[in-house]
Parts: sequence; structure tokens; C-alpha cells
Amino acid sequence: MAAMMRRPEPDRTNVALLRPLLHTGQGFYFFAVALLIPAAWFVYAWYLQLIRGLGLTSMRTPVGAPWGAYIANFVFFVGLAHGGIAIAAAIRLLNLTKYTPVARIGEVLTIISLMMAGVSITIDMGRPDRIFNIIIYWPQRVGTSSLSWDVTVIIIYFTLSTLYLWLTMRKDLVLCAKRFPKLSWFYKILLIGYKPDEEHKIERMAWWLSIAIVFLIVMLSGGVVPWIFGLLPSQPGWFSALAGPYFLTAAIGSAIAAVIVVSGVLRKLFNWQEYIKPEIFKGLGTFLGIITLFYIYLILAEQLTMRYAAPLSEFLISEKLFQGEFAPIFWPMLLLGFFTPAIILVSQAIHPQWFGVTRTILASGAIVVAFWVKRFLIVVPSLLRPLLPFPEGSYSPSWVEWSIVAGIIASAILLYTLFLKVFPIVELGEE
Amino acid sequence: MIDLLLRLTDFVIPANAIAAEVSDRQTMSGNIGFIVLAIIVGPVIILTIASMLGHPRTFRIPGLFIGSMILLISAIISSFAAAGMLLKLIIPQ
Amino acid sequence: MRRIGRKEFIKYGGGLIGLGLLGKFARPSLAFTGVKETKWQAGKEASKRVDGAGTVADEHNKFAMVIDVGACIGCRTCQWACKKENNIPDTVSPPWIEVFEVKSDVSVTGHPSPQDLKKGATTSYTEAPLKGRWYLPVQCNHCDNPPCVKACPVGATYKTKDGIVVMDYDRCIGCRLCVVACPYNARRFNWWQAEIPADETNPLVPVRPLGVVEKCTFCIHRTRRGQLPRCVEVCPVRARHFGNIRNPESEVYKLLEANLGFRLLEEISTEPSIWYITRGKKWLQ
Repeated sequence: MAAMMRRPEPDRTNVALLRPLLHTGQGFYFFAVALLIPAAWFVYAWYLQLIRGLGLTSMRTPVGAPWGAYIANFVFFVGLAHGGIAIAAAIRLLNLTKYTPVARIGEVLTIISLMMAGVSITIDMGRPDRIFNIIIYWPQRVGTSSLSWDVTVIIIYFTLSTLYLWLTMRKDLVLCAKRFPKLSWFYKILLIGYKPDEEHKIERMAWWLSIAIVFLIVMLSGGVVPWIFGLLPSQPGWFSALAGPYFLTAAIGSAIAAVIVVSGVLRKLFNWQEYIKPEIFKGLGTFLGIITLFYIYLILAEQLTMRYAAPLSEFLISEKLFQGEFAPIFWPMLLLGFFTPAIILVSQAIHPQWFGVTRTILASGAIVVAFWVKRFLIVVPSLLRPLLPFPEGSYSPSWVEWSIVAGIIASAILLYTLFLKVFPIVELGEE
Repeated sequence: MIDLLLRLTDFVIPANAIAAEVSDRQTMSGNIGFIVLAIIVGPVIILTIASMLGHPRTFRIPGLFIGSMILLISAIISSFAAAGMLLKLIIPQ
Repeated sequence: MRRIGRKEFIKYGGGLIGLGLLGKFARPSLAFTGVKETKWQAGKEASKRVDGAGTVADEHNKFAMVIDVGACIGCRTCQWACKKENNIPDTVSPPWIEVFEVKSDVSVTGHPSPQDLKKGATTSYTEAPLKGRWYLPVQCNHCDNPPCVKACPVGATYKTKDGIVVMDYDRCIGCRLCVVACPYNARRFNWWQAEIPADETNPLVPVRPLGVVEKCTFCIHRTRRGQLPRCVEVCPVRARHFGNIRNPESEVYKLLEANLGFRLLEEISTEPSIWYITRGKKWLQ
């Protein structure tokens, strides 16, 4: 709040920040249609997959990969879901008020990403019509099934982060209800039981909830999600206690990168240069650079363990990445997706005159893409080489899989755009 | 070929005695999920309760919070059921 | 103290809170050492459950298979008999049994090319026996500590008291976590709708619906009724033996007493129910 107060004309600020709600130009419709096309194509591809079977994907078993792009997409989106809330929580817990303008940008990213993660896993299922079985048999299975743990923790995380967003947005919704009478019925539903004195209580609740959410981030992306993979001795390359920290670092890295990209795009689109200041990009960029370097260190630790004196099965998985069929994506990912952007981001921190917002955004974009590729390279290679001497399989996603993955990403952007049209994405000032 | 050779040695070496003993204990891990979830959910519940107590002592917002939490969780669960029923119409049974 | 059987106990104590806990103490002791019932396999549901083909597990049995690798000639009769017996469609390839061709220097040979695999070839060639080759048949090991059962989020696969790991095709959600959890790659998935002509369908075995996981059932519809599994029955060189390992008079028990047996990937401690022995004489020198 204090940061907002410093601004001279709160009303001018609010008008600027409500720009996406106030003006809906041709560009918006063009953009929405451009996103609706892949989204519709995704629905069609999924329909085909539902009636004909998962055979339309290129997943196969036992020769081939029983899991593929969908699971990589799931892990990627669960990872993305950690940036916003992590930033929001850090702002609250560490008093980093200068980052307040991007807090909600990230919170929304969290919620939409979680939805997309859920969609990805549903699409991967052979019988999504029996999805309710997970709930029915939850009490019996939660004792041992890592997937049941996942469902539990993701539901809790989704609930808490949605409620967190809702609570911290209420004071802005009051302004919105005043300004946009057409939608005021909707805002009023969300403002149920509103009294002007509630802000203090909400601040306190948000502080405690931040701690809970930070804890859940560790336990979700550094816990139950990697444990789906890391607890299985059947797959060399997965079975590792490093899985937790490895996935957690990837999650936070990809999420911060995504927040930088989204904030950068919104800043350009709505001319928010004076609200989302370059310092924000600088701070987040430096952090992202360090996280990415740390992730490279984790890759080193993992690969060294797999190569030095590991069982042959482990070594062969590593070999697949280093010079096997996945080398053409592994090396570009490592060098262009992680190393170069990380060096750019860190050197910006050392040499302030090298700093550039666009450069930061581009580097972050490369990191986001690299983290998707990395998830793919975690999921797939291990599956292609069974422990028993089956012939080696191969896997590259089919057109159905690419359509669905692209469609899920397009739907995520579409949902984000719709959110922009209804809710203020940057915390408003007082009026 | 050397890789296959080494891989095969993995499964022609007879069991050792230790494996047989330890696996008995290993099979008792049927409760591990409850421990894992207790470790994860326990602190979250405590922190959520902590967020609702304390000053200012109004219970309107915590009430709303709890209410909407229950609402949201049941909405998610019923959306599972709804999605399942919807997909039953599409997927050949 | 009078010991009550598990089924009885559940019947009388069905409504009691803490049933699972008490049930632990009422468990009958098992004669065969090394077999331990575990919580998730012997929950109250598993003991009540009617498994495939309307049969119920007999607690006195613990099925096991002994495969004589020395005798196996790699004819794949078991593979194809299993395919017919269990209504395995062509799209599930390889079928539930896979036979590896192993050279005497222990390298695996006989794999088809990736191009053939893409065309839907099974993963092993059927030209056998070849001079100087050994054959290793592999299928679901019906582990006593099954990772697939642990992983399943809906309990669609479970361990029964007679040692069979069963699939419930009506409950499976097709998440394939069991497929990746199985170190033996014994599980298959119905990527496509199964199409089997009605006159070639075995009525005792359900044809699996689209999108569920399936695997060897130890021919539950036969073995629970006192018959041998189809693969054991058809083996022309008697390389496969099947029986109740809790019974010291049984063939499998005696074979394991007389021969050094090994199981696949023992270091993962899945405790398979399929033992391999190398008793048989090689048919070619």
C-alpha cells in the first residue's frame, strides 16, 4: 500500500491500470480469435483421441514411452504455478514492496497454470470418464499411491492460492464495482460480506497464508510431483533423491521467468512503463539468473552421478542425452536455453549499464522454453530403455499431441486475457 | 553389445539373503502416504488456523474464508464428477 | 486364544472403527516364509473382492511359476496360446508374454528393426530354436511386493491372497503409473479399441475396453478352478511349471528345492512369483 500512496495522482494511476478493462479495441478481438483457433483445434484433437483412443499419440508400451508430452506439459504447468504466488508471498513475508505491481500478474498465472496442469493430466488418462474414481478410492489408495498425494496437494494448493488472490483483490473489486456498473453484479458476488474495515484482517490472514503457500510450493513442486518419478526404482534416471530439489528449482526458475515475460508483455501492451519499473525486471532477472545457474549445477550433479560409476542403465540414459537421439535438443537447451540467458541475466546484475528490459524478457522467454524441453527430457528418455532387454523404443510426439499441447498453451493465454478484461491485474491505489 | 551384456548380469545373479530379509520390512510401508500427507497437510492446516486467529478479532472474514474454501473444494470435486459424466457420453464404453 | 479368520472377523466386525488395526492381529499366520501379506494387498476390500471370472482367492494357495530356461526352445507357443486364451488383440504388441533370445555370451539378439516395430511387429522374432541361443520368457511376475499395486491411485490392480496380481478393468483410469512403475515392463495398455472376432473370443476372459491397462493374470479363470495356466499347458518341452508353493508336495516347491532358482531384478526387491531354473538339457550342442 505504501508504495501506492507515494504516487501523486491516484486517480490517473487507476485509470491507467484499469486500461484493459476500460478499452477493448480491435486488437483484442484479433488476439482472442488468434487464440481461439488453436484452442478449438485442441478440442477437436482431444475429441478424436477420446473416441479413437490414445493410439493416436505416439506413446507406446513396453517398447516406447508410456508417458510423453502430456506428462511433460503437466510437470511444466505445475512448475509455472509457483512463480506468482512465490513472488506474492515473498513480497509479504520479506517486505519487498517494490515488486507489488507484479504480484497479481503472477498469482493469476498460478491459478491458470494449475488448471492447465489438471487438463494435461486428464488428457493423458486412458479413461478420463472414470476420473471420479480417484476421489472414490482416495481413502484406500492415499496410503501408497503417489498420484493420490498429488491430487490432494494440488487441490489444496489451488484452493489456497485462489482464496489468497480473492482476499487480496477485494479492495480493488470495490473500486471496480463503482466504476463498471455493468459488471457490478459480478463484483458484488465476489465482495460478499464486504465491510471497509476488513483490510487489516485480510493483511494478517494473507501474511500467514503466504507462509502456508510457500511451504506448499516446496511440498508440491519439490515434493509430490517429483515423487511420482523419483520414487520409482523401475526407471533409471528418475530414481533419485535429487528429484525433489531438482524439480523445485526448475519450478521456481520457470515460474519467475514466466512472470517476467508476462509482465514485460503487459507493460508494453498497456504502456505501464511507469508502474512496472525496470528495477522489477532487474531484480527478478538477477534472481532468475542465479536460479538458472543453480539448475545447471543440479544438471551437472545429476549427470555426473549417472556417468561416474552408476549402474549401466543409468549411464545409458545419460548417454541418450549426451550423444544419443536426444542430444540435438539437450545441448541447445543447455547452452541456449539455460547457460546463455543465465549469463546474460547475471552479467546485467554485475554491470548495470548492460541492463535492458527487452533483453531480460528475451532471456526469460528462452528459459521458459528450455524448462519445457527439460521436462520432456526428464520424462521421456528413461522410459525408452526398459530394464529388461526389450528393444529400444523411440518417441516423438504425434500431431495430436502437438496440437493438444499447443492448444493448452493457447487456452492458458486466452484465459489470462479474459482475466485481464474483468479484473485489475495490478493492485490499484486509493481513490 | 557390451551394454546388453552388463544389463543382463543384473538379472541372472541369484538373490542374496539380505534382500529377502529386508524386503519384508519394505513391504510394511503401506502407511507411508499418511505420513507424507500428514507432513504436508499438517503445517498447512496449522498456518491456516493461525491466519484466522489473532487481532483484529473479527470472524467475518475467517468465516467467509472457510466457507469459500469448502465451496471451492467441493466445486473441484464435483467438477471431477461432472467431467467424468460428460466424458462418458463421448468415450465408447 | 481362539484365532478368528480374517473373513469371519470382517463379517462380525464390519462396522467397528479401527477395523483395519484389529484385523492386523487377527491375521492367520502364513505357512510359507518369505510371503508376507501387506496392508494394501489385504485390506478389507481385497478379501471381499470377487476377481476375474467370478472367482475368489483361496487362502491356502500361493501360486508360483517355475520356468526352466535350460529347457525352453523359444518356440513362442506360450506367447501365442496366451494371446488366444486371453483375448489379446493384435494392437497389444507384444502380448503378455515376451520371449527374449539370448546368445551364450549373454547378449540379447533377435530383436526386429525399429522400422518393423513401427509396423507393429512383435518385439521378438519367432525363428527358433537357433543353435547356441537361450530363450528367456518374461511376463508379469506377480510380485509379492508389487510396485504397480503401490502406485495405482484407484486400486484397480491389487494383490490377492493366492498371490495373483489382478487387474480390475472396470476401475482402471488409464493413468499408466503402474506401467512406468513396473520394472519388468510386463504391463500393456489398450491404445486402440480391441477388435476380436466373436468366434475367436474366449468367453471366460473379458475383452478389455479402450484405454485400460492389462497384463498376465496367471490365467486366473483357469488356475482358480484347478487348471494350469494356458502357457504351462501348451509348453511342448515342459519348460514351465505351475503350482501352489505353500504345498511342499507341489511340483514347483520340489523344483525349487532341487535347483538353484533365480528371479528377475531381485535387487529391486519386488519378490516375484516366477522363478527361473536352468535344469533342462540344451537340445543342441
